Amino acid sequence: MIGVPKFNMAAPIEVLITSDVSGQLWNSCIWDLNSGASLSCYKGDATNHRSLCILGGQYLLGASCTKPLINVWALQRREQHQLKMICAGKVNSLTVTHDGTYCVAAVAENIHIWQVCTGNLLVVLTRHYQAVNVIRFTDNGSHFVSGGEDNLVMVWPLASVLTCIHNPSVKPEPLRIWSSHSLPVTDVHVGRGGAQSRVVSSSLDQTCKIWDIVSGDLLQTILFPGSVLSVTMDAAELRVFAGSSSGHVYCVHLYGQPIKFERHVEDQDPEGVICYKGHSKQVTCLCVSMDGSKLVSGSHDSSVKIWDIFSGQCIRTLPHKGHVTNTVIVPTPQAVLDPAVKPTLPLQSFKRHLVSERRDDTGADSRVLSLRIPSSLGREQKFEENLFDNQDGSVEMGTSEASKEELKRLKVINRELYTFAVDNILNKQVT
Amino acid sequence: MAAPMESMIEKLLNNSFQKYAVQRSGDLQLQSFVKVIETNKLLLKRDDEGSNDIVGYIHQCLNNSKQRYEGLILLGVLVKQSSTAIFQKNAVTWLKLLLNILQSHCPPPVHQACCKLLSQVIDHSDSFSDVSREVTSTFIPQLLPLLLTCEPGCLSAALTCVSMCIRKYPGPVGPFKAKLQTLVEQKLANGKNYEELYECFALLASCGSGGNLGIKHTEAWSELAEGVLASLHETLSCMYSDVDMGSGSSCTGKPLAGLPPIDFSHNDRVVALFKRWCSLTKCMQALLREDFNAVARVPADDILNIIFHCLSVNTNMLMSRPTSERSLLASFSQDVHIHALYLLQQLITLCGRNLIPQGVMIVSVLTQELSWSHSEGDGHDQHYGCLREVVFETLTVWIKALDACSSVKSGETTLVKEIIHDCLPYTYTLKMTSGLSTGSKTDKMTSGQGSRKGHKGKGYHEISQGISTQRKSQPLANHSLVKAALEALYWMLTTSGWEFSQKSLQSVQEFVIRSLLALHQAPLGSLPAPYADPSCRRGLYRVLSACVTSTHANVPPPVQVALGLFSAGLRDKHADVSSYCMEAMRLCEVLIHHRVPCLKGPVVCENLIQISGQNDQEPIVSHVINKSGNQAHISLETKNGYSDASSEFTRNEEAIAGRTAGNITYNGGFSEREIRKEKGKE
Repeated sequence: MIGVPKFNMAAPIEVLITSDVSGQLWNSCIWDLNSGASLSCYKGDATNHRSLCILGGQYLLGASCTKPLINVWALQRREQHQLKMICAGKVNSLTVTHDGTYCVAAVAENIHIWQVCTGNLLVVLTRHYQAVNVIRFTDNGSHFVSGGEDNLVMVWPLASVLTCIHNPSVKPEPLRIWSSHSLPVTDVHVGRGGAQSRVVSSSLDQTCKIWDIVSGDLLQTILFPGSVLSVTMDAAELRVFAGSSSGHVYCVHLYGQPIKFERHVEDQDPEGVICYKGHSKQVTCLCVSMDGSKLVSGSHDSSVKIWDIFSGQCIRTLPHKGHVTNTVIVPTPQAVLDPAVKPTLPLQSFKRHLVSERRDDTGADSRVLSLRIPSSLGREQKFEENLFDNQDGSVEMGTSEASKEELKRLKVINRELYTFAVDNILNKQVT
Repeated sequence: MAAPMESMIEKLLNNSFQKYAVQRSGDLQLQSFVKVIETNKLLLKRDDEGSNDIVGYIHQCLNNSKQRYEGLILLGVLVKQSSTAIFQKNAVTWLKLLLNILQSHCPPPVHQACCKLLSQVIDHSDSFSDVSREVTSTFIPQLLPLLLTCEPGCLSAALTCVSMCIRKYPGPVGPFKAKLQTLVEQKLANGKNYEELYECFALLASCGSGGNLGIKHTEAWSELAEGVLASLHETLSCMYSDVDMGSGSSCTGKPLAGLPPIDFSHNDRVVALFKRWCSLTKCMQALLREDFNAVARVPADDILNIIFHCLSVNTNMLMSRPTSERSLLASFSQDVHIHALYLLQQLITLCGRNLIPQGVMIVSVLTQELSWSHSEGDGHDQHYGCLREVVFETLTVWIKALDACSSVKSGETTLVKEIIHDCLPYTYTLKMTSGLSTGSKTDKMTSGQGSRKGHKGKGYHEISQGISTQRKSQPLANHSLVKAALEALYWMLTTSGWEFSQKSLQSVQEFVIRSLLALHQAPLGSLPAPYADPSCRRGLYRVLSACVTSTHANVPPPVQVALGLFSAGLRDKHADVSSYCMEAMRLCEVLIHHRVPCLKGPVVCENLIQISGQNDQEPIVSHVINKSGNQAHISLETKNGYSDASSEFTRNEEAIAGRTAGNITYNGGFSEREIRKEKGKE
């Protein structure tokens, strides 16, 4: 019998996390994307739109619908509420960097940035002049994109925003301000490629717009028959998915036909567009699986639907108890599979006030970073190499050279002592 | 398949063991016997009976004072290859035997080997509950006093063993923590300098029980870190007492107790301070590196302040008003900085993106280092080559840890300038006077109109005429510096190339294209220094591929030129370089044969990179900036036999005309529109 490497074959590669506005059954639930089985759920309160995220693969963060709170659950402890962090106001959107170092939240028209390992509120950005609806990070966490009620989409470089904290006279400015939307921005999706990625924004003005961060150019505008409330793309950015107010989800092939700067999508027009019909009310959240074959949509009709992207078939419907607020697909976190895993990420309670003084009331330095030092690699190898410096077993030989020298020296001393004794002491006695 | 293999190996083992141990025929000496076992893995997967003989023999050797070393070597092989069953059965026996050897009087090499072997056995022992119980209850209390009092000759091996004990059994080591700390600090104070010492120092924090959530360990770690920080402060303020501008940051912590301050009466004061600085920075590095099972509270700001303080005093500053002490300090200054930078690297590795707020500061300190250590190359190793190399390494670590958040944009101009300065291939035309250089230009203009091939490389040859060609050359001068600089440049372009200024990016493109062309044209066997080193050439190609892949709003990627250069690079003599070019060719191929149509076309080319083959002289890369119909020709002044990015712009109406006279034109992007426009003009 040939040994097979052990994998947890039952474990799903990706899981779906959803939440609804009622919070009756649970606050949020983790589903197996393939079977539709519920894997675990987290209770207490209800989570607001676009404000559910996973921190460092260990914690689930969700901002409350009604209160100025961020709820935190350790992923493996299901039922229990872990931590409540109080914010300056109700959080409209919440996101974290992929490595879990920084957390960004939209509170009314302000954007708050916390450093996770200290809990310090580093900076509050006030540039939007109406409420911010959505915040998303680029996949490398170097920039984040915010879209608001004021029809603006802004791209913020994290580095220059955070550098400003040492110099209060400089006001952090966004890298790009895109103002082509004529009505509030409802959703933003950031593609792949770090700072060089493309951004899709959706708006109540019935359009989705595709932007390029590097040049700041508007690449394409897609006009839909109704207001667009949610938008996403597949990983290879071949298709744009838009959830409309009518309950239809449109899948637009970006390269299906000659590329035009502006495209009009109509319900009757089948060319290059697939329309997924099934929801009865507006579709507010969308996400695509890793392999680009499944689309998940959440709607105000209290259901989450999983679609096969290519055929347009609805594969499964997951019933909810209220407006669906979040659908997120993530690679299965280890803590979901193995409840024995303990969270190692040091998470501090987020502070409500901007970090200013170095020493806080208790005399502790508030800037000290709480970190885990990951186990060092290469140590094992190091000492396997130098177990024996001389492996020829010549240790006796080697020392015998030295001891011969020593012996010689001792013999000389001995002889001197002898002659001294003979000459002086013995002779004296004789005399 | 498996059965014959097993029986064959068994036969091999029996045969060689018989020859070696039983018959003692002399056919097989110890060394060869070990070699045979190691290469053929003869003891691997042996069950209990299969290796009974050899286990017995090893025990016998270990018990016999004359054969101990032999026994240790054999046991080393056995521990490495033994199966679970054999290990579980014999581990306690081995530990006892090894302990006996430690207790007895033996030459240092035997003790050393014994310590190393002990740490291996301890490393594996914690997987077996019965063995680990034995180790915890009786073994460690006996072992540690021995290790702590061992002779100086085998201290490093003993400390390795102590470290392993702390890693695997932190609890039982607890009672010895104070003694261990005194020992380590005493050795540090005596200027002892080996890795095991630092490792052991860092692991002190993990000794004893951790308390709830490892809170005691966290506190111990903080205490150690504070102690080292305070000692670093003390050392630094002592070292810079003569030059300090009163900027010395304060520190509230208590210095490490075991390290007496080095005052003015100390002999060799500067040297002692330098050594202290080295060992303290290494202690701090070890603290930031060694795995720690609780949360560490890292005073990143304080560590950064120390590093900045250290780097704020440099050789130039010291030598501007030299005293005897300052001169002495200045001669150590480079190494002091290097150790500070190593500490910075470790801090960056640990804290990563948590350092984003300090990003601009860190980048500016690194550029500052490059600025003051700037020196003109003369084909030999640079004065501050080592320091600059470490600066580039640190920059690379920084960029890799922070990706696009690295703020290198803030120091981009200086960084690009310094990197290009360091990496330019050295040619002997450097010392030419301006008169000569104009001469060479006219040379260029008038020299032959023959075939390209015949004249390859002639430019250099002719230019260097009239200067003595007898030189002591160093074909690999600065190669590690150049390698580090190119690596830093590669990462800068890859992560932040898109936000570079147009001028910087163009100067990088120019530099890399010109350098590669020069390498292709140089006569075989006399590549300009330091590009005789294949890793430098490979670095240059890597930079080119980063130029090709980075997107920029205004600067087109040099795809056309790159394809030519990479295919020429396929003929490189060194496999590393040519294989990299293959890789890069694949990349370029994907760029020119798009898999999907493009939403956004390539950057419309307002800048043509023109490579003029005119007169078959040295290649000239020029940018024709074509705005509102004006052709501006950037003429490239010869310096280092090369162009300088800051060369003057001379309006040259003949730039286009020259091209019609049979020159090769590469346009940087794909703009057909541009070409059409120009054709219309012509």
